[in-house]
Amino acid sequence: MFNFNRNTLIAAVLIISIIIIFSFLYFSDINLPFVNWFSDLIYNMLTPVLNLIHQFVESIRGFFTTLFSIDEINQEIKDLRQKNSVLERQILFLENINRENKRLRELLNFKENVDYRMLGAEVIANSPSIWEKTITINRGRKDGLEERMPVISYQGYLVGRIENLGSSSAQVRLITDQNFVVGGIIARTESREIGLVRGSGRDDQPNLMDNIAWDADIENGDVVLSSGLSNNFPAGLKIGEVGKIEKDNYGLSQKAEVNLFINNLTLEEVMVIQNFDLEANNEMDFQNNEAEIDSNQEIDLNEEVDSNQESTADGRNTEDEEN
Amino acid sequence: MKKYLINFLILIFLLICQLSAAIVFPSLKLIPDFILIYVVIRAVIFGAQDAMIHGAVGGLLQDVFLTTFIGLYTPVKTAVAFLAALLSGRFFPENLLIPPLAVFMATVVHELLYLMLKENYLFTADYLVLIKEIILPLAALNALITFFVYLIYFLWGRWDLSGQT
Repeated sequence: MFNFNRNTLIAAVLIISIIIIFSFLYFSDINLPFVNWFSDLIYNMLTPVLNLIHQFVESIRGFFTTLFSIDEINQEIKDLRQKNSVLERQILFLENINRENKRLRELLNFKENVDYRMLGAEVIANSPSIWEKTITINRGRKDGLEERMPVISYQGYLVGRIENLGSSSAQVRLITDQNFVVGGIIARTESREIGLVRGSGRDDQPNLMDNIAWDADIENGDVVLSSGLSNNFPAGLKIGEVGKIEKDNYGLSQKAEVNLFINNLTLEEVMVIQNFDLEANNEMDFQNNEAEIDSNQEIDLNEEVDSNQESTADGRNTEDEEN
Repeated sequence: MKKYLINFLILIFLLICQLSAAIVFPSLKLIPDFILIYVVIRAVIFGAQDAMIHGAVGGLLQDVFLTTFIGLYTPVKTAVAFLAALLSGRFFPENLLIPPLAVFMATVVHELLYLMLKENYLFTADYLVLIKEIILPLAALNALITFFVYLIYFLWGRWDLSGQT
């Protein structure tokens, strides 16, 4: 019925043989330098193009946004300047509290809170498949990224982890991917139940949190954070909110839907957490000590100047009142 | 050789379109598989040998952005190209509905093959829901794009012929 000529059949056999050989090498985890080199070559050749396209699209979008909303932008700038001055005052206030907190922690021998070292990145490409939830970002090995580093949004929501690295780009497997699993913990004062949050493989559907104890105190609307029990993710990253809760394993455990926070966002910019383990953070703290001391001294001096000014102002006021 | 180079560049261009589509249009729910459309159209017009080579290369390019090298798209796209080539030479070029229909069927087979070879989907996926909510809309979208692409190709061929005579 269907006549294939001899050349077609030879080509088919050749292509299938090559694919089977490479698949065998892939599944048996044998690393061939040439294969990796070729793959990296294609990847590193294409990502700069994607980056250029992204920049081009962003500049066009930015131009038209500016053109059609100039009044709104002016108003927003005015508002943001006001907010900025308020926030600057708050930062100064919080720095004092932070110093005090650190000092008290040291006095009580408390472990240091994690202070992440983060790197901002832009999303330059999405997944080429509807079944794999990945994004490509414009930072890579050159910027000090490594595989399995956690990725979060600017709001602090867990986005995913780095899967493959190129020289100046990296692939991030999203939390919505079916292969993605992260330890979750309920963030409520009365409940600290743990479970495993698994990707649904769909952007429009919630993730699933399973392996929750059968008698766990878990409610609709509870916020789920990363538990930090594994070494892959730091604790306390926001994941989502608990939705529907059901019995699982014939009542031996529970499972809950988790409505992800990132589903409400358009992922354009993300941040990679480069360093979150305590030891590394302690090392960082030692390195930053000198800088901190300097800045503290500066702040102290500023405070002294402020208090002097306040006292002189108070003096003037009292003089005025007396007059 | 020049022909293959041009086609390789076209495949790269299509891959870039596929990767950037969701960045340019963030509200898109389904991203059409441009590489699959191209491979199936080639299969229908030029036959199995040509389509299988392009299917393998297109799948390989897609896999580079998902795994380290050869993944599932390389064999799946090659197989789909082979199946689509069964239609080659069996319809009149004027029949504008055959290529979209071929792409529709190819998309369904392509996605089902992929799901069945994917370990984490194989036993856990609800195939009926996935077919209804993802595979059929994607197949329809791919078929719609194919209709316009094939129409342009067909009219261009006609215009070229009339120019020669």
